[in-house]
Amino acid sequence: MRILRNNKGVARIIEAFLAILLLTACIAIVPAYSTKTQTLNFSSFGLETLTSLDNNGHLAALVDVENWDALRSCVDSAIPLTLWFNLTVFDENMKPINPYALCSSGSVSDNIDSTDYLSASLNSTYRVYILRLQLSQVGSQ
Amino acid sequence: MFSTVAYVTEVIKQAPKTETNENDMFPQYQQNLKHTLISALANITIDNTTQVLSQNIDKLNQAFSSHFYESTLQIESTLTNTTPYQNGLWIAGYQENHAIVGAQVSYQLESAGNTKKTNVAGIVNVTSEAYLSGNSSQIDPATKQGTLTLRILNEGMPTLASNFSCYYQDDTQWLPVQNFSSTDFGNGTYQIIFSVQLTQPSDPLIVSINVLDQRGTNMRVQTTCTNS
Repeated sequence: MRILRNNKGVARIIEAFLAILLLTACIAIVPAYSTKTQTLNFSSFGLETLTSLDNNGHLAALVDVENWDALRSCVDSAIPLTLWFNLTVFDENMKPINPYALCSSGSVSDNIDSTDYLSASLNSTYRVYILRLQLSQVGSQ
Repeated sequence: MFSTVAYVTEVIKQAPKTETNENDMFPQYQQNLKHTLISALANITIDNTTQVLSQNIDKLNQAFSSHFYESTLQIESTLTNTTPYQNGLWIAGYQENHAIVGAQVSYQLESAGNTKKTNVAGIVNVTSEAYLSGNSSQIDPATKQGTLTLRILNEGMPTLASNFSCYYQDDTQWLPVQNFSSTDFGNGTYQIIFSVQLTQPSDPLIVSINVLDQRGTNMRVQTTCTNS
């Protein structure tokens, strides 16, 4: 009887151990995986979008003439409606030069990804701008 | 213990991240290097300040080197010095029937991140060309009519002109053609028709066109019109 009672105790300990392992795996692995996937998608998408829009120097040309509304519209047209964006333009000394926020409307989720794109102007007055594009899901948490 | 793990995981999830993947950076650099060459050509063909090419490339390289935080970036760019390029530039303007201006630079990028080292090398080339041909006819004893065909190319592909002006040679002087009509065929080809009076009507009609392409590169091309 005594030996049987002891075996029952060992089984409970093993069961508790397995439960701890399962919970730890769920907490540590699953959220880390989902965060990484989302981050890579957003930043790569943002960079590809800006690289594509600036293929003929269009973005730098808009910044050169300080046409901020056209710049916002240009980026807005390339970003899906399910994403929120905020674009900030910096000069070579990382000083923001857009006088007001260039962003889409709507509520923003807590997860914001950011990507930086360097854009050299095409015209004879040469400048290098840094365009920082922040992206997030609209309204999700 | 579990609540601490859960809290840390949530905080990590919510922190904004700036991703600067070096693989994404290489096409970005190449594209900007091309823009830099275009900007330099626009400058050089207007002001003739050739040193602006190396200055602008240095500026671009500095911006890239100082802006990528996740890896150490080494950029080496070399202006092409093989014929027909000299210090990265090929300027063959003022030629009969054809003008070409171009810039070429080779680059090597070495990115050393936490986990891997990447090397990328390449060449960026930018060229603008203008072709001019024409014929002339005597419409009265003192007046000649010239019909010119102008073609503009960027990297061998047709492109549009943003502006052009036309001159003709009378004796030893170059005079502007005051009135001319131009037809834009929309494919980088333009037809220009004008009439001028030469001091010696028997002289061939020699015409020169200053053309500014849409990238701001200025070219001058001249032709001797064939009599038709």
